[in-house]
Amino acid sequence: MSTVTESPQGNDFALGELFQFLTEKDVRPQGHPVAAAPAPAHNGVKSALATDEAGERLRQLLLDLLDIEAQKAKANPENSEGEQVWPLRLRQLERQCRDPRVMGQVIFPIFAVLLQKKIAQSPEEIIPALALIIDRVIETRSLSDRTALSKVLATVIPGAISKQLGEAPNEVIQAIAPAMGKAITEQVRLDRDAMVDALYPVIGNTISKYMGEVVSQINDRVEQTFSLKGIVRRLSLRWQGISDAEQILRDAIPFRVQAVFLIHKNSGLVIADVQQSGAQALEADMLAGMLTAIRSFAAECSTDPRHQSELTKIDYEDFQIIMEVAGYCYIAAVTQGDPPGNFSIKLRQTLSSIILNHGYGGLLEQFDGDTRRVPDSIPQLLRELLVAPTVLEKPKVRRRPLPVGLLILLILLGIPLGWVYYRHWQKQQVILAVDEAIATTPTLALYGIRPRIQGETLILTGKVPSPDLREEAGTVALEVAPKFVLDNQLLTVVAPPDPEAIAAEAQRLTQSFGQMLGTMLTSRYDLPHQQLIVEGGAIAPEQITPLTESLRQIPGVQSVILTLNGDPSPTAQRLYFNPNSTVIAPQEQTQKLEPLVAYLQANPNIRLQIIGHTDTSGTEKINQRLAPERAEVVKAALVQLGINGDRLAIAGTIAPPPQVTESDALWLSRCVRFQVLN
Amino acid sequence: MVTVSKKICMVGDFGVGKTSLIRRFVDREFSDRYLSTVGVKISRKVVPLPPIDDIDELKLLIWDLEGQTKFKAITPTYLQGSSGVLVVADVTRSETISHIEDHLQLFFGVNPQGWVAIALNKTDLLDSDEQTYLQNSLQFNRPHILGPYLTSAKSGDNVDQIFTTLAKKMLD
Ligand SMILES: Nc1nc2c(ncn2[C@@H]2O[C@H](COP(=O)(O)OP(=O)(O)OP(=O)(O)O)[C@@H](O)[C@H]2O)c(=O)[nH]1
Ligand SMILES: [Mg+2]
Repeated sequence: MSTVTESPQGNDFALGELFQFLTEKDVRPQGHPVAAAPAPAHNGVKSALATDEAGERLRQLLLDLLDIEAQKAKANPENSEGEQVWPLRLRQLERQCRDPRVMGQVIFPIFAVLLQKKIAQSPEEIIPALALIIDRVIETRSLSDRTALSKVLATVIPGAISKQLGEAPNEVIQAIAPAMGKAITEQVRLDRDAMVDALYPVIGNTISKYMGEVVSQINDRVEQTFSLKGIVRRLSLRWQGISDAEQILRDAIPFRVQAVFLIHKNSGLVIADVQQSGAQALEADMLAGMLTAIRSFAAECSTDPRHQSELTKIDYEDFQIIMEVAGYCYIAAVTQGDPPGNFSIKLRQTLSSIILNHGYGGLLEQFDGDTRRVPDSIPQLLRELLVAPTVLEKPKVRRRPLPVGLLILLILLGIPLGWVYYRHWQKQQVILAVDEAIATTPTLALYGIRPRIQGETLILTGKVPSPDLREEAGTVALEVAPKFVLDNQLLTVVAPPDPEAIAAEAQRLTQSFGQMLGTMLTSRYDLPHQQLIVEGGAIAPEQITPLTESLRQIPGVQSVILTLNGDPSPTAQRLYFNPNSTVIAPQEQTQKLEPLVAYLQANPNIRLQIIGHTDTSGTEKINQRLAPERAEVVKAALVQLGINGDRLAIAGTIAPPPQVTESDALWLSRCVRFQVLN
Repeated sequence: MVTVSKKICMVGDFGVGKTSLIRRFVDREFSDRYLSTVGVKISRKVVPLPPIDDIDELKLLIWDLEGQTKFKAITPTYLQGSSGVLVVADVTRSETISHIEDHLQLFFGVNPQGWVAIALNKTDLLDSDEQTYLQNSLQFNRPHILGPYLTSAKSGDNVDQIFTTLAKKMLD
């Protein structure tokens, strides 16, 4: 029995307690303690141990162990007296077994060792016995010392979860799913920024903008963003007074990224910065500080306190500063030229990589101005934005495991974020990529095209207005998900939803465009043919292309037909005026009056009636005066340019000129037109 | 060459001399004109460090915040990520001194681990008796608070000292 006496008493705390538990709670101090007594209720649940079977089995086990010891002693020749002593002892023990207190005292010191031996010898027998009480063991322990138990379990649970995630992910997911919502809410409350950074790589900066918001609000936003404004951007730029030349110049500046900064969101300190060589270096820290202050200011001024609004773009002289914001840091890119759609995606990809690779160690969160802690890979990632601002990282669509970073975070926070993304991780990735590709293709962004995946098939559903667009959507989708088979279920909408809306939108575009060129243009919508017919004055074909392009983009317009008045006669021109003005604009002078003078000089027999018109705004009295005054002014200008005043008669009317109705834009009526008299 | 950057903020009532202290420290200039700061102005000053440290220089990014008025409180978001703050009061306006406590609370509320240096500014306007009295009557014996320093942006008294002492504390 040497091994037994050497064993320090109670060396295994948990087992000691187990024993205590056996003796004090479940084994009754009666004649037949471990036998048939009805089970004492424990929390109303029948104790497993108190069944006959369990008690008996445990007793048997212990006896077995003693038996082995006895046999060993017998086999040892030096221990000769054993032969007589053992049967006696055995009987004694057997008796003691019936008294739990005695039994306890006897077995307590050796219990651990016995158990170890038994486990080594025949674990299958121990397991069912312990299995009956293991839950109670843990329960009791957790009641007596929660921290100790937590400490022990903490070391194995992460491993257990990751193993289970690998083997039976569904079970884990089902188990934790119900608590996810609450857990996330709590985490958002505790540390919003940590949550933003955790989700940023999958959702992008939408998360910081809309966290805590209901989904419908997101939809509103998205709809606004994709309104018709997008497609007429080109035109609207001109309406804002940017001349053709300027626009051409602007388009001609190649997009270029001057500098990229990764900035700590709270302090505005520069975590990393890269700049084009050769160019004048920007003062990174000053710029970063100022941007951060502006961002704080903008957030402070945000009118709706529920929104965490984020400033994402600043125009600065001929530079643009484009920002992409995550939880603890943001990227600011100083750019020139119009940024291509890809660029914002690239920014997002870069920020995602940085967060995935470095965010979870607290580097970004706790950045304290010491750039020695910033790994080289961060500036390398940023440099990518300089040298290849539009080259996207190919979305990886093949199987990929839940990112380690997410998994660690999941366990650390107690929020297993993989719940949605685990099983459908790869599918989600593809769908996201396709969505993004479609959203960044201007011609497609308008139509709610929905990608879906079934097995290896990528399905596109939704409605587009033309077969061309349907094709284009398919091509764009396959480009980002080349491993999938495309099932293009996009419907080409034959009958547009609202012909009146189309006609109105087309008319608005056409007239505004006409105003820009100083000529009258109108459009009609031919519903059966889905054609737009544009009519109006003489315009060079290349001048009108932007209009036809824009018109073709309107859903429900299949083709645009130009029936422009080929009459190049300068007498057919109309001069347009600003409201309440009689001043001839310089471009009207050069483009219309001067050719007219040349024409009149070449045709000395022609006499002109000059007719002034006004719009319907303003009082009739003023307009009555204004109309002939405009004609007068034009006559004077012609005389000044060398035309004999006798050839020019004047008239004025407050009625709109021919072809202009009351529903047309007002400026069309503020004109002077000419009529040849002989 | 190892450079570490730190953000510090200037906090205090309007007109106490926050902007003037920065100007003195960074540009070595002073002006009697009062141009009230609107929003935030950021300045930078590189403070060389003695060669004992493994850091060669400290780049201070100094955020000059709009002073607190009756109508407008200091925006706490600007204080975020600031390792230290210089709380400034004007010795000729006692209410600015009594507001020091509010500014301390605001800063420590945002940044419990940060450091504060207190500047009692415009001391050139006091005679030496008044200065001594002030020095003795105002004590802030609390952790993470330095000073009060009797400063003058006009004469330059204690200006470098207060900034560099705060800077060094933030590095420890
Ligand atoms: N005599 C004297 N005048 C000072 C001193 N410091 C600042 N002033 C004057 O006090 C006035 C206000 O100084 P600023 O530095 O603009 O004060 P501020 O705290 O930045 O003010 P706000 O930006 O409005 O919050 C100016 O007229 C300064 O010339 C000083 O040490 N001595
Ligand atoms: Mg100021």
